[in-house]
Amino acid sequence: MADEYPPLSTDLIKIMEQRLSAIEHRSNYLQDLINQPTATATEYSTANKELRRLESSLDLIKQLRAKQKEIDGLSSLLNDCQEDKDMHDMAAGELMEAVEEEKRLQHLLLKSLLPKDDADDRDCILEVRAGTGGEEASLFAMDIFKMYEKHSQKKGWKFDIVDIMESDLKGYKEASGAISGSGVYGKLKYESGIHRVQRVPVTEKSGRVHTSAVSVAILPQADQVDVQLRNEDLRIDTYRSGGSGGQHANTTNSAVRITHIPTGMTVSIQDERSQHMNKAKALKVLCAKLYEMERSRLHTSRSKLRSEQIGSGDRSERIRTYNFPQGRVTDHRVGITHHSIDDVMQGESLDIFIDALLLRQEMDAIASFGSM
Amino acid sequence: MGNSRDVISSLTRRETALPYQQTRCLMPRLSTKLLRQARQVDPFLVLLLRPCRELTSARNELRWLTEFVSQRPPSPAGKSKPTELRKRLRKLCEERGRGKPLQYILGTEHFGELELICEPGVLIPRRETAASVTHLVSLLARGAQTHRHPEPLRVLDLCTGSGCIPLLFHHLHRQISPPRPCPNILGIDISGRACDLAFKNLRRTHGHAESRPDIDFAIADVLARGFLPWEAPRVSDVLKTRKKLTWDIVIANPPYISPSSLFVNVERSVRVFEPKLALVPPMPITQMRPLRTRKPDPLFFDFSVKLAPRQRTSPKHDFYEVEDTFYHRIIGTAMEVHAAVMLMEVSSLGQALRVVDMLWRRRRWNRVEVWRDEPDQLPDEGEAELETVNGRTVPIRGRGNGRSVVCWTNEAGPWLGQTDVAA
Ligand SMILES: C[S@@+](CC[C@H](N)C(=O)[O-])C[C@H]1O[C@@H](n2cnc3c(N)ncnc32)[C@H](O)[C@@H]1O
Repeated sequence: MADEYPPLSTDLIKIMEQRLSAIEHRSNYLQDLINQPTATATEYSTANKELRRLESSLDLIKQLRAKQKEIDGLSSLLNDCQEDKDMHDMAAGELMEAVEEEKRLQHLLLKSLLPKDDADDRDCILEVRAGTGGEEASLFAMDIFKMYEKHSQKKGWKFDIVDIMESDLKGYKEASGAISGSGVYGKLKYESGIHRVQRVPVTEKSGRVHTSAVSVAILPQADQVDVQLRNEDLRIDTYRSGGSGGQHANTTNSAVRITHIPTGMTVSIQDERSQHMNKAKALKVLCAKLYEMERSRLHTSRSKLRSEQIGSGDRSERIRTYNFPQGRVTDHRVGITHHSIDDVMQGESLDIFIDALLLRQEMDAIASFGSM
Repeated sequence: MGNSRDVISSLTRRETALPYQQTRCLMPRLSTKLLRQARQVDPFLVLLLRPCRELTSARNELRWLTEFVSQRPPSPAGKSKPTELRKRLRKLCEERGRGKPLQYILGTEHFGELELICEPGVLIPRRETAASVTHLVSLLARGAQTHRHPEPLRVLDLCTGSGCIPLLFHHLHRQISPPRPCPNILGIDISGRACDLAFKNLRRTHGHAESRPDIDFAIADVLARGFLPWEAPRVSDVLKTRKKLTWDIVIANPPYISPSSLFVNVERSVRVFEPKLALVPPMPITQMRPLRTRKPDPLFFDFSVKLAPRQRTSPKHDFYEVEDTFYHRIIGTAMEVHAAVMLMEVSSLGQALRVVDMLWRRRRWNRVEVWRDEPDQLPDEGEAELETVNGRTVPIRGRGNGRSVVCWTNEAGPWLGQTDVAA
C-alpha cells in the first residue's frame, strides 16, 4: 500500500494546494451566482455547466479536507494522551491510516487535475512499416511487430493481427494489429515514431553493421459513430478476377480496399479468407486513422495554448535505437538505455521505457499547470 | 424489335472491358523471375502459383493451408512431427497446384458472414451470389421501417446447391430491426448430394440454436414436366404434398453456362472440379438433330425445354439461348406460387436483358431491374445505368458484370422500401 502512493514532494503539494483553493473559490463564486435571483438564464446554465465539470474534483477536495481535519484531530489526541498507552496506540494506528488515505486522495486529485486524453482508455491499432534499409528493415519490422505481440500477451491484452504484407524474404513490409485491453492506448501511445536498428543483417555477407529503420504508429481505435462515417463517403473495391465472374470463376482472393472519398485515405486488407472479415478489419483501421486525423487537427489548434514536451507527436521523430552488437536499447526522449536487448525484443522490458515516458509526461503536465 | 439481338451482343462485348483493379487477366504469364522469387521464399509457393497466378494470393493460400494442416493432426494421438506436417502440406499444395479448388481442400467457404461446408460434387458458393442476396435483404430491411411485409415471409430457393442462399437470407433477416418473425424458407435441388450438404450446413449454422429456424430442403426437378416416371418429382408436386402452394419470394441461381462458353469463359479449375450439373443447363435433344428434320418425336423430344433455341419460327422468342433454359421454368414456377418478388442470378448483362424480356412478356411484374456484381456500389465509369430492351428501358444498378435480374409486383414495392408505384 505504501508503495502504491509515494508521498508527493512538498513543492508539488504547494502547487496543488494553490490549484485546490482556486477551484474552491471558483465553485463558491458559481454557487453564489446560481443562487442570485438576478442571474439570467444563460448565466445560470453556463455556471451550472462549469460547476458540473468541477464536481468530481470538488468531491475529492471535500474528502481531502475532511481527512486533513481528522489528521489534525488525531495528532492533537496523540499529544494529549501520552500516558494512556492503549489510547495512544489506537490513535497512532488511526493516524497512520488517515495519512495514507490523505496521500491517496492527493494522488487522485493530482490525476484529476492533469489534462486528460480522452482516448487513453481506448483500444488501439498498431501499425509497423519498414522504412529505409530494404530487406533488413522488413525483417526488423517483423521483429518489432512480434515484440508488441509478445508484450501484449504478457500484459494480458488481446492482440489480433489485422494484416501483414510480407517482403521477399519473409519479413514484413507492413503489418498492423488490433490491441485491446484496459487503457491500452494510454500505455502505448508514446511508442509512435521511428525505431532504428543497428545490426549485421542476415543478408550481409561481409559482416558489416547496417542501420535501418521502421516506423511505428499507435492509433486509438474508434468506431463509425466516433468519426461520423457515412456509407456514401466510402468506395469499396474488391478483387475481381477479370473474367465473367459468378459460376465462371472461383477466386480465393478476398482482398478489400476501402477508400474514404472526402480525404482520399485508403486501407487494404487481404489477410482473411472471408471478404466480409477483411472489410470489417479495413473499416476498423480506417476509423482509427480518421479519428487520429481529427485528433491531431484539434491538437495542433490546442497546442498553441499548451506546450507539449514529450515528442512532437510527429511520426518522423526518431525515438529509439536498438543496437544489437552492443546489446542495448536506448530511448532518446527519456535518455534511458537498457542493456538487455533480448528481453526487450521478447516484449519483457518495454515497461522500463513506457513507465519512464508516462512519468515524464505527468511531470511535464504538472510543471505546466504550475504556471497556469 | 428485330435489332434487339444486336443491342445485346454489343453490350456483352462492352462488359468485358474491366473497370478497375485489373490485377490480372484470366491467365497472366508467370515470369521466371516471379517463379525464382517464389522458390526462394518457399518451394511450395511455386506449386500454388499455378492456380493463383500471383504471389500475394499464393502466399495467402500457403498460410491458410499451413494453418489447416497444423490444426488437424491426422492421428488422434495429437501433435505430429514437423516433417510429417510438411509432407501433408506438400500433398495439399500439389492437389491445389493441379487446380483442385481450395474450398474443396479446406472443406469450407465463406459466404457473407457465414462459413459453410463445401464438398466435391456440389457447387462452391460464390461471393456475387452473397452480394445480391445481401442487397435484397437490405432492401427488405429498409422497407420494414415503414411497411409490414407478410409474416412470416415465405421464401422459395430453386437450385439451392449447398443451401447457401436460404442460410444467408435467414441470417441477414434476423438482423433486421425492429425484429421480424423468422422467415419460412424451402430450398429445392435435383441433386441428393446437394440436399444432404444443405442439411449439413443447416446443422452447422444452427446446430446450437435453441430454436431451429424454419428452413427445409427437398429434392425436385425444376425442369420436370412430370410425364416420365424416372424423373425427379416436379416442384409443384413437392409443394402440393407439403401443402405450401404460395410463396412471397422466389430466388434462384440456376446453371447458366452455355456448353460452348464452358471451354472459353470458364476457369479450368471450375470446369474440371465442379459439377457440370450445377453449371450447364441440359442440352435440348432437339438441338443435336439437324434443323430441317426436326419434328416433335415423342421419344426424343426433350421436355425440359419449351422452346427450340435459335429456331426463328416464333418471333416472340427469337433471341433466347440454350443457357436460358431454366429461366422460363423458374418464372413459370414463380407465377404458379403467386410470388411477389423474384431474384435470379444470370451469367452476364446480355443474359440479364434476355431474362428481362421474358419477364415483360408475362405482364405480372410491375418493376424489373438488373443488378451488377456489387449492387450496393456506385457504377464505374462506362457502366450503363439504363439499357433498352425492345424499346423499354430497364434500370441497371451497381458495379461490375450484369449478375442478376430482380422483379416485383406493385404489392411488394413497399416491402422493398419503394414508395413510388411503377406503371
Ligand atoms: C449454380 S448451382 C447454385 C447452387 C447454389 N444456389 C449457389 O448459389 O451456390 C445450381 C444448382 O442447381 C441444381 N440443379 C441442376 N439442375 C436442376 C434441376 N433440373 N432442378 C433443380 N435443381 C437443379 C444443381 O444441382 C446445382 O446445385
